[in-house]
Formats: sequence, C-alpha cells, structure tokens
Amino acid sequence: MSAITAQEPGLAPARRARPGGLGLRWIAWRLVLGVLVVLAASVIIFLATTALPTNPAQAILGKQATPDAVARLTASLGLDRPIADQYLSWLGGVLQGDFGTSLASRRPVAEQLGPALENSLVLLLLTALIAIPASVLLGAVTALRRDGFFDRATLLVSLGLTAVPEFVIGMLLVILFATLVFPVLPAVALIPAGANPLGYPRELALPVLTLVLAVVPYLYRLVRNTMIDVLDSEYVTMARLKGMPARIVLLRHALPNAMIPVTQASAVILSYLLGGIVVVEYVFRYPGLGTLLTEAIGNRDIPVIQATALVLATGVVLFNLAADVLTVALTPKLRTGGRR
Amino acid sequence: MGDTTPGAPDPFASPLSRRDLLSRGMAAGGLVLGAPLLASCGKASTGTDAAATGPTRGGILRIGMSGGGTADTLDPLAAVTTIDYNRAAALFDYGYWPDEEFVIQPQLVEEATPNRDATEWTLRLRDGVTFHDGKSLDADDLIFTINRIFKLDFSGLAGRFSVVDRGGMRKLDRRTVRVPLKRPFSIFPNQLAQLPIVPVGFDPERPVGTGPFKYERFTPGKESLFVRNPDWWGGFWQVEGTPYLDGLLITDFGDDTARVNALLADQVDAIDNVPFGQTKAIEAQGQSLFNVPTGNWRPFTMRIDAPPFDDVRVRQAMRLLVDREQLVQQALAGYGTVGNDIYSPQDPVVADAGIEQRAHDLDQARSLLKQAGQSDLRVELVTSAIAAGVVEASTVLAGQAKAAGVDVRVRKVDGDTFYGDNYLKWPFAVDWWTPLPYLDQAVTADGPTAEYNETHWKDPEFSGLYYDALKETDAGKRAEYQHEMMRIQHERGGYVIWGFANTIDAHSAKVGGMKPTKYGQDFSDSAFWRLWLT
Repeated sequence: MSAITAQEPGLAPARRARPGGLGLRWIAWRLVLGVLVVLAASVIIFLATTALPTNPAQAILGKQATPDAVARLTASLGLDRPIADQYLSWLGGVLQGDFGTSLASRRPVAEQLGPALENSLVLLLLTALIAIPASVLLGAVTALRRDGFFDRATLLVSLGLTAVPEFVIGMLLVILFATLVFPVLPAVALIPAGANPLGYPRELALPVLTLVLAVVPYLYRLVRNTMIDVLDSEYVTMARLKGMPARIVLLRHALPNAMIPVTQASAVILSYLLGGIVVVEYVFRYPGLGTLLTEAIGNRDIPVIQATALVLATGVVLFNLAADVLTVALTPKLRTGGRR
Repeated sequence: MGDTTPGAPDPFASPLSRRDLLSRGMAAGGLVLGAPLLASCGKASTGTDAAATGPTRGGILRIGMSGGGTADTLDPLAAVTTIDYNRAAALFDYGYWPDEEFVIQPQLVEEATPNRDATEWTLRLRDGVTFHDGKSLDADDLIFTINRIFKLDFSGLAGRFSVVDRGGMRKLDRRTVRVPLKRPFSIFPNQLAQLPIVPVGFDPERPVGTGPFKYERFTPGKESLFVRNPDWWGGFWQVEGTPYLDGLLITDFGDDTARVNALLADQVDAIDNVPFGQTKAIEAQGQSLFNVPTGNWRPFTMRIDAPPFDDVRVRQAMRLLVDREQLVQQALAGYGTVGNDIYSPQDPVVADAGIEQRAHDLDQARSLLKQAGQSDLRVELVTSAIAAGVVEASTVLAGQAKAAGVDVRVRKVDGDTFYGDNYLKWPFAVDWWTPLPYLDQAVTADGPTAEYNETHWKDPEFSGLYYDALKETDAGKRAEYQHEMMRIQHERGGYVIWGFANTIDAHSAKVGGMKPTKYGQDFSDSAFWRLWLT
C-alpha cells in the first residue's frame, strides 16, 4: 500500500489552488493526463497480447489447433491484418462507442462488459461502504486505547492479514464458512447472468468480506496513526486543558482533522481494489470485470482484454483524480482551521 | 481457465481445448489391456442413496463442469471443449452412438449400408423422430447437416467428413440418403457417431435438436439451462419415462477449487473432473465419487523421423525402460490402468488381438541403446500441464530413464507454447486423448492421412493394412487387418502409451443413475436422460 504515500505529491498542486476556484484548470490538466495514461495503457496491453506465443485462433482451438484449422480461423477472425491496423480499427471503434466484437464469443464486447462492470461496481462499493467506516471506527478506538490489549491484538491480526494474499484469505473464508467448518454460505457466487447481484446477498457475503479483510488492515492503521498524531497535537491538548468533554474533543477536533488523509487514502484504496477484485472474483467465480479479464486473457480475446483493461485503467485514473480533488477541496478548510 | 478431458459428450470426443485442460485434474485409471474390462474397475463407486430408491421424475439437476468460457457454443458442429460436447449431447441426438459396451449403435441413422468397397453408403433415418419445434426428421436435415460442417469457420468434424463427396449426396426418399465417399471408408458409422443432426436452417442462437432436453437459456462462459423434452423418442435405449429430470443446469467452472467447493457447499449436485488430491475430501464430506476406468490415454510421443527416435531400437528402448505401474501410481495417483503402447483398450478388437503386455526391462533397454550407439543418450522432453498427470508423468519418466543411462531433460512449457507453432512438431513430447475405437483412432492420430500425427508415423506396411481395413466391409476380416496394424505399432511405433486415466466425477447422494460404461466418459457418457434426483 505504498500507493497511499505515493499520493503525497498530489498535495503540492493543492496548496497552490486558490480558495474557491478549486483549480479547474488543474483538474482539466489532470484529466488530459489521465486520458493519455489510459491510451498508453491500451497500447502496451495491445502489444503485450500480440507478443504472446499463441494467437487467438490457437488459444481457442487448443488441442484442435492443427495448422489447417488455425489458418482458417485466423483469417475469419481478421487476425492476418497488420497489428497497427488491428489496433487503430479497434481504437476508432472505441471512440465511437463501439468496443468491437469478442473473438471468442463473436458477440459485441459491450454485451459482456456492461453487466461485468455493474457487478464489479457493486462489489467495490459494498466493500468501500463497509471497509471505510469500519476502519475509521477501529482506528479511532485503537488510537484512544493506544497500547492496550485491544490495540495490540488488532495490530497483530492486521499484520497477519496484511501478510496473506487475498486469494488465500478468500479460500480460508470458504473453508470456514462454506465447505468444511460452518457450511452456511455459498462457496462460489453463482449469480445468474443479467441478474442484479444485490438480489444475492448470500453470494456477495464472502467476496465482500474477503476484500474488506484485505483493505481494513491498511486503512485502519492509517486512521490510528493519524488520530494519534492529532490527539498528541497542541490544539487537542489545548482543547482538553480548556476542560472540553473528551467526546467533543474527539468528534469536533480530532476526527475531522484525521479525516483528510483518510479520505485521500480511501479513494486510493478504491483504485487498489480494482486490482484486488480481479483475484477475488476469480476465487469466487464472481461474474465481474476480473473474471472477464482472466478468461479473455486465456482466450487471447484481444478486444475483450482491451476493453476491460481500458475500463480498469480509467477507474484507477478517476479514483486517483478524486483523491487529489478531495484533498484540494479539504485542504483550505484545514488551513482555516477548526472553523466552527 | 482450467480449463478438459475425459468426458466429452461426443462419443469419440474430439480432442478438447487446452483451456479446459489446464484446470482439469483428471483422474486416472484406465483398463489393463486384455483384462476383462469392468473387472478392473475395482474402485468404481456407483451405489448412491438415490440409486437405492430407483428413478424418480422431476427436479433440475445442477452440474458444475470444468473448462468452458466465452467461446462456449451450442452449435454442436462447432463444439470444441468438453462442456460444449456435453451440452450438445443433451440437446441433440447423433447418427450413431456408443452403448454401454462401447459398441456403436444406430441412433438417428437407423441403418447404414455400404456398397462392396465401402465407397458409397446408403443411410436410412429413423422414422417418427421430431425436432424440438415439432418438425419431423428427414433426409434433407442429414444432407444439410453434413454440408453445414464446411460452411463454418471451424468445425472439429471437417477433417472427419472431408471423405464425403458432398456434391454427390442424393436424397433417395423422405428418409434415405445416398452418400458417396472419395475413398473407401468401412467405418463410416463411427463418423456418424460424431455427427449431431441439426434441422434445415439451423440457428445456433436458438438451437433446435431432437435430444432429450430443449434449449431454455444460455450464457457463454457462465451457464446453460435446458428443460425436459417430453416428446423425446428415447434413443436406442428406449427406457420408459426418460428423461427423468425436468431440467439440466450446466455451470462453467474455470477453476478446480471453485468447482469442488460448489459441490461441497451444495451449490451444484454433481461435478466432473475431480482433481486427484480432492477425492478423499469429497468422500469425507459424504459425496459420491464416480470413478470409472476408461481409454483416456496420456502418451509420450516420439517423432520417428527425427533423431534419436528415427532409430527403432531407441524407440523400443524407451518403451522398455518405462515402469508403467509406477507411472500410474505416481502420475495418476493410482486412478488409472497400465497401457501396452496400443490405444483404444476398451475396443474389443484390441483385446482380441492378444498382444503380450510389454514388461519393464532395463537390461534389454540398455542393450538396444548400445546397439544403436546411444549408450549416453540425452533427450529433451517437452511437457505441459495439458491434462492432469502429464507433467508428473514426465518427471517420473526422467527418473526411470536414468536407471537405463538415458538423460531425459524435462522442459515444461505453458499450454499456449505447447499448442503454439511447434504443436505436432516436437521431437519428444506428451499428449492426451479421449478414447476412440481403434481404427477410428488410427484415422485421427497416426494413420497415413491423420490430422494429429504427432509421432510422424509413416510405415508402408502399416499404411497398406490401414487402407485394406478401410476397404473391408466384413467386420471379422477388418479385425484381422487391425490386429496386424497393432502388432506393427507395438513393435516399432512412436508412442509410449504407459497408461489410461480414469474418469472421476463426484455427485451428491441426491443424484441417481450414474452408470459406469466401457467408454467411461463423464456422466455415463453424457447420458443426462438417465440421471435422476431424489
């Protein structure tokens, strides 16, 4: 989660922003940069997929990939055209809102992309809705009870979780809650195609829990450390000396100030989760972008890989932008300090 | 993406895709050549609670299948993966189909009559069979189906049916077609056992067949739901009340772990392709294993036209230095049977040949290598996780070869590289196959015109017998030719066929009707009509 600290440079332009103006030109510039990043990503991904040792026809045919069959399928998929030609015609289509046709299913990519995006967003937002408040609460409590038993125990557990990759957490949860110990929840998220995953809370439970457990250890420690800094700060000491009730000190003075880095970190966490869902979706067979991407790579289904990667890259850019903008929005308030 | 193996719904399942394979942990366990077929099936567990109560009607059976992906298709002529073939077998009936003894029986084609040299076949379709949309099956459908194979971008059947002189096909009457062939082909019914018959104007988006189940919905890479066809004609089995199920929900599982977990968490009733390592856990959880010996073979392939294997003595030495029993125990975790360098052990013609089982003989292997001037032989074996046990077998072989002074360097590549540009060209490699009848397998694997001739097998004597067999319409005489072909392969062929892997499915106690067959593919050879739920 070094990505969180890597966001620090974003604070620099923030300080230059004029109050009220929020640096619209700066935001526009960041947007342009974002588009360039996404474009660059699409070129790299395109080149990477074409550099793989097989072409899509071989990947689709597998054991049946006799030279004859490969030649016929290659021609019918249009893969005998030059790479640049294939890329440009794909890009041209995307600019007109057409993501092309999947090489594997021969259906429009958008048909697969839309539902997958929706499903992944549900997973992502549910995780954020649970993980962020939980981290704030946990961070605040452990900061207040610093070095107590609860603080130490939580720290130990969180360090353990940090050391374990998400797919291992996922599999442990499956063993615990789905198959062997307490078989009460579904092990795989068998959500029918086209259905809204919110209608399947049992299926969502384990994937969301896995992601929450992957994210909370980072986020809560950030809250805890920020809170400790704030609680040790002079203005909080002053508030205490003035005889303010501890609850007011915490809620009015400490927490709002601790929230600024947390807000930023939360936005970054969301972009981190875009990567996390790829693995977690695969473990639970959750029908989202990650599953779509994993499978498209297996098939060398370049249009689908491109579209999915484009959506993920756009997500990362947007979440990072949001992190910066939020920081800008919150920093002047910070400067004017505890205006009550 | 784990994708595939035994258990293709297609009777002589065509090779399946790499995608499926990767995730399939195939169970091993084939038949000992020459042994009574089912006698070797000691581990087969077929008794279930449901089985004890007898068939009941109703319910939707939920099956989790390995492999599959967005390239899934319900077009039975374009099927690639195991899951495609299984779905096709639910929706469609085939021209012929293997019975429980692995004998090809007339299915939609009621009778196939060759002329004297098997260059022309007269096919009569069964009367009174209707498609799901109510249309009657007739001669036009058969002609349309064969022609349609060649209109597709890809059809696994194109190679098999290239023998048909399509321009010369004639409809003789409402249900009779005369099919001229470009060359003699005495086992044309075997080809028809690969042919699902679709109606004229077939639309793969709304697939209509004659099979026991009807299309309801389908999302490639996710799931398919088929419903009972109350008007099914019953196939050659003619079992009262079938199909028993109201519906069949087949879900794709790219990942082995997810598939097994779904069974343990009661999200599906049955799964295919149980990984070796999970069999005990599944049984401990009260689920039943369907563990059936098959002819699924996992050969090492030696190119007979490339050094050092262009010297027959080296090939013989390699076959002598393998410890087949150890390979079955270690590479297939014991879920398999020992091979004798001849494929199709479940085809009665192979058992009848009475060819002696090759024994492990290091002394003779060393002596042959010495004669060949290859006492310090070093070879590279290209291997890949294309089917369960294949990589393990390669490593075990390397250890065994050392005892005979042969240095086998195992080079493991990923599936994409394996099936990439060097596919069918590796000098020393691995492969996997679902079983076919003997002569049919020769047509595909190592006959003079075989598409997948990975050993580059070309032997004038063998080719002569092959063409004689394909001209011979008398089964008895044809068997003699085949026995000679087997002796030649056994003596100087390029395959090391050390063993056959079992099919291992698993299902809950609610599922009944899983019956072992000699063909031994998943779900009783995709006979979903036979299964029931309690």
